[in-house]
Amino acid sequence: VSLRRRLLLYLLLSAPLAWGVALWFSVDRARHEVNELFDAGLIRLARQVQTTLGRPGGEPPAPAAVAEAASEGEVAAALGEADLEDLAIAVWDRGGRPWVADREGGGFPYRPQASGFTELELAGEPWRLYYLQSFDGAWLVAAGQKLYERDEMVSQLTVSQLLPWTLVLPLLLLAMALAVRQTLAPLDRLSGELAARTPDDLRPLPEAAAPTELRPLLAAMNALFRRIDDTLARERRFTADAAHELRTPLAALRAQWDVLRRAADGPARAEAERRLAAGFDRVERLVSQMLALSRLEASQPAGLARRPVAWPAVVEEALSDCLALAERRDVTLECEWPEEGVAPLPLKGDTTLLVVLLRNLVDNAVRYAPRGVTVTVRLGADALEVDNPGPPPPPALRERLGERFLRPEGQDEVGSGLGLSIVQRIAALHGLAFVFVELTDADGRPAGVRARLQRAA
Amino acid sequence: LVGRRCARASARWQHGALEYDPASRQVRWKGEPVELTARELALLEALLQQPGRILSKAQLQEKVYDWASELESNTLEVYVHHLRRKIDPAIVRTVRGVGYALGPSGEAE
Repeated sequence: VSLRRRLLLYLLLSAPLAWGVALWFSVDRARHEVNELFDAGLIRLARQVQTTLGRPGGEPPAPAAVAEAASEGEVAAALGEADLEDLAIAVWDRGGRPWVADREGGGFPYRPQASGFTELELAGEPWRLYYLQSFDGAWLVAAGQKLYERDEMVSQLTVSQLLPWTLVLPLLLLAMALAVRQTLAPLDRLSGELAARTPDDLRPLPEAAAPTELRPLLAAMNALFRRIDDTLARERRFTADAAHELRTPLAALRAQWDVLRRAADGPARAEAERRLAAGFDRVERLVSQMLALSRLEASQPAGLARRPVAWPAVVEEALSDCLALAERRDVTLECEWPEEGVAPLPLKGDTTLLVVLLRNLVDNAVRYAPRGVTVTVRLGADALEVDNPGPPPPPALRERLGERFLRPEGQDEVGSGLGLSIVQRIAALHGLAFVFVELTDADGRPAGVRARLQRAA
Repeated sequence: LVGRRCARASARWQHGALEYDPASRQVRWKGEPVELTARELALLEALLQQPGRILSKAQLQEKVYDWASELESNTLEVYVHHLRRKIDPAIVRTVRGVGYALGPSGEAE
């Protein structure tokens, strides 16, 4: 349902309704006032006649004169602009004989006991009569007026009120329609802007300029946009990460398959088959871990399969994955363990993910180190380090390390640029902080870069 | 039955200039036969089964020794040394702190 239409409907209905109620009240008031005015006129006329008749010492004046004086002078003064044609008067003496009456007055019924106002029909027309007994009971005076006279006045008053209202009402409605349109304009602009957007345009809507009522809605929509944006980014990241991470184990599977093909029957072949099956297991485990990682990213690092980490196996697996690249780049790999009796970085975590982490760190070091150097993995009591004696990345680059798809310029090795962001995520899941440390030799010259994972404070 | 197996086992393992016939347990380096002892052969075979992987000393010892010879476990380095001397210094690479792996095959990976 259109808000604009509903608002207009309410306004268009309620304005004439309020107008009608106001009109009914003013007509009622007008009728009341007119009645009061005319009744006062009738009373005054009747009293005037009484006064004239009861003038002490004087003969009763000629009936014609009474009628004349009453109708021409007093009545006219009393009733102002009212039509005199509709006024009538009748006078009876004590015996009930009509003493004087004008045209319609002759038709007034003689009611000796009557006093005050009464309404009746004369010759098919409604009249209002006022009976007045003289103090001594000598005279009964009845002054009357046709009722339609009053109705006419009320309707004239009503029309005189109605006319300006009727002229103004369309203007009022027009103004209301304009006001509604003007007020709802921000909504129109908003829906227009949203309709014109491309599906992947998730920029936030400007809240500051919006009316107060719209702001909560805009804030909610912007929050939703952000969530959708995050989800989309996560999905894209997951796809990229998964592809990146599957490449290495797939190459290993390929190598194991080659071994199987050339293996003869017997224990050697059985061993090769076992290896291939183990390779498949590893790929499967990796895929499920990546899926778990993508789900974990949205939530808390709880729900991770946590077991005490056997670092020798992790190092063996991760370095094996980097062996081919290290050979190609003539880089020596080695691992340093803490002295006897010190446990290397005791940690509960997911071995598969930690292999991914370490492989990415070593792969990165090997990939970007100069040829012929040694890349060292070092496990201490509270840290895991990967030293690379190559030149440190320029500061601008280091700030951006960990951004996705970042690849330093001038590199001849193919990498996806995903490695370090994967490292950061897995490290965070295990409560480890990931930092780069610049190494210097005894003379303070740059001697390499250390990627260090330590327990987060 | 033995004959059939031998016929099917004619496939040889190749790693760069190294050739190994698991059926006859013959090793050739650049076409020249190399004489190896049983334990040296076991070590080489273990490495050849997983080229490109680092095998820890524990894993290799398991392959090379039987239960009876546990006491000799500190001599794995000796067998690695023998392989390097008899075949080629680069045939086994040491990854310090982790274990041993087969050396580069010389082919592009």
